[in-house]
Amino acid sequence: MGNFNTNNFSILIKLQDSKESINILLGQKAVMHLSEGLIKKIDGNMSDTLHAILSRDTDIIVVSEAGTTQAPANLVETKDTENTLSFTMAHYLSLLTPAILSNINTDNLSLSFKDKLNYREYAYYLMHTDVMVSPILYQWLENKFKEAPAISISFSELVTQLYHLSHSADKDILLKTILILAGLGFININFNMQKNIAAPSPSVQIAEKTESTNVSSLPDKLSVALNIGDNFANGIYDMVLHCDNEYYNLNLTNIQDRAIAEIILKNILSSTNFISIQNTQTAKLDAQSALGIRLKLYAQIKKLPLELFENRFDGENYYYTFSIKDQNYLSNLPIYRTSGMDIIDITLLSLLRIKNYSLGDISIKISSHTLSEIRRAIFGLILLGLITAKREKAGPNIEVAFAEQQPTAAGTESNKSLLQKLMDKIKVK
Amino acid sequence: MVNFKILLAGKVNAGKTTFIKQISDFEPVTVDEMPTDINELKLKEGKATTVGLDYGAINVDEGITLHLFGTPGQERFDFVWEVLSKGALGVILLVDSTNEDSLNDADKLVEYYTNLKLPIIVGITKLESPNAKPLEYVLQKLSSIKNIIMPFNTFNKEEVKILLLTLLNLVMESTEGDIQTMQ
Repeated sequence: MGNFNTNNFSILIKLQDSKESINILLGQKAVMHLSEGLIKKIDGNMSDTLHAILSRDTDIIVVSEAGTTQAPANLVETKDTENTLSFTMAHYLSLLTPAILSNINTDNLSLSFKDKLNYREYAYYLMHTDVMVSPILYQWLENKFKEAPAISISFSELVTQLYHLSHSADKDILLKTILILAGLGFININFNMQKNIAAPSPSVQIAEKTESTNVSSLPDKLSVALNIGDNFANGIYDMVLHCDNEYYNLNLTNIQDRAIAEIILKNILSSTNFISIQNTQTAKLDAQSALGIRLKLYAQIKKLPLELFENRFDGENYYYTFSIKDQNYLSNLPIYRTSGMDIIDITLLSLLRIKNYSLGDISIKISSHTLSEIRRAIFGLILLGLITAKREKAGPNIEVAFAEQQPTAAGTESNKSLLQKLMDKIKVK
Repeated sequence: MVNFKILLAGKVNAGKTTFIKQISDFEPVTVDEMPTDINELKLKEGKATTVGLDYGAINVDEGITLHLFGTPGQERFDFVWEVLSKGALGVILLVDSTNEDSLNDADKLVEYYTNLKLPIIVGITKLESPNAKPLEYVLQKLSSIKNIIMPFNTFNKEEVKILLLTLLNLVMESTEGDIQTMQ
């Protein structure tokens, strides 16, 4: 048994029957491989756990309530309500997507989906994960919504709906979710400044509205647009929220408009290192161009060696093909190996750490629009990856072992030393 | 993976976008739109201005990246400056020698970023322009600024490098303990 690097500890989360609580299980099989001191306990409600997930300061393993030794299909299946199911999926997506993107070392990764997520599921997904780590899913979702008819919804109603969906998630998370939704251009926010956001502190106002607004049924689809930097003839509007064919203009010299703009930009910029800006001409902007900018920015900031080179719809399925440009991208990641039933316990951890496994082109079609189909497809990809990894790296009988992480330059040197290296590079650049 | 961040600040059309283009490992991501303010429009002579931010980066093999963020020049976007400044190593303030407003406001911007406890140096741009004020005049206008002030040409990569290295040296010298990285 190798050592587990203290820089990469993990927690094991057990989804309980209760919709509003997640408890951490200690001492389970997978976790026993780690010393207890490395485990970050998150006791408390869903909100606390979501904060931990969103902050991404730890690796997380999620298992079903049945324990840690189930088959993959069971691992992601729950018999709970639709909401709990969605919650489960959201956790998995939050874990699996970055794992897939950052660990697969192959020339081409191709995913195709045929699905119609409803907004309820989509909101759950966004609420429980960092959408920025998921350009594939992001593009997938964007295309879904691009096809949908635009539907306007008032800001307060949107908050109310999300609050209703989330059960107990705190309002900061709700607000963040909404703003990310807007920033990504997935929803129209039809601000009524006088009515809904009259105070300079919109979050407070929103919270009050949330409690007092009646909940009505959600529309199936919401769509897009946040525009910053307008071209309006009189030139006083700095941010334009676009809702169908109507615009709400924000003038940043106005304190109320500015409060809204600030919240939107702060959330987009600080929480995601990512900004979604479209020309206000806007609406004329090809959505694909806007997406291209976002993906480009994303890839650069996150340093993903990822390049989208095909995006097509054949009338039935969407195909997104990414090229992994840098074959050595994962060269310093440690190896985690497993076998037998233990594979279930540490599947996710393995994906986060597995080294240099190679896949051929992968194409997954989902023939129905159920969550279980999606999960099955994702797990198929994971298992395929693991099987391939086993075949290529260690043969069929692999001992359960956590490999000691190979230290990277960035992990062992002081930042001053690293900055000096950077300066040396600039000198010869 | 270690990420450092530098901000390029300055008034509209001071040369921030050009600076990043000179040094970035890739074609910078820019968010430029046609100016809406009539004064800005005149300044930019009909060209696009940055309303969101510019972004470029320099990568080193060992997983080290220097991110370069150009801030929008308009004061009404100052909340973006604050957001971007989080986790930054320092600031290069570009002052446009052809623009009286840029010269007049330089000390305020220096004060702004100084208050954020960020090392800052000042680069004077466009001195090669026929519309540039004389260097003596520019330096006199900036006389209240005690920070490092360096004239340079944003279209000259070597001079851009010198400015960047000057700031990084300042960061190295002025930082006690280890240097913060981008969150």
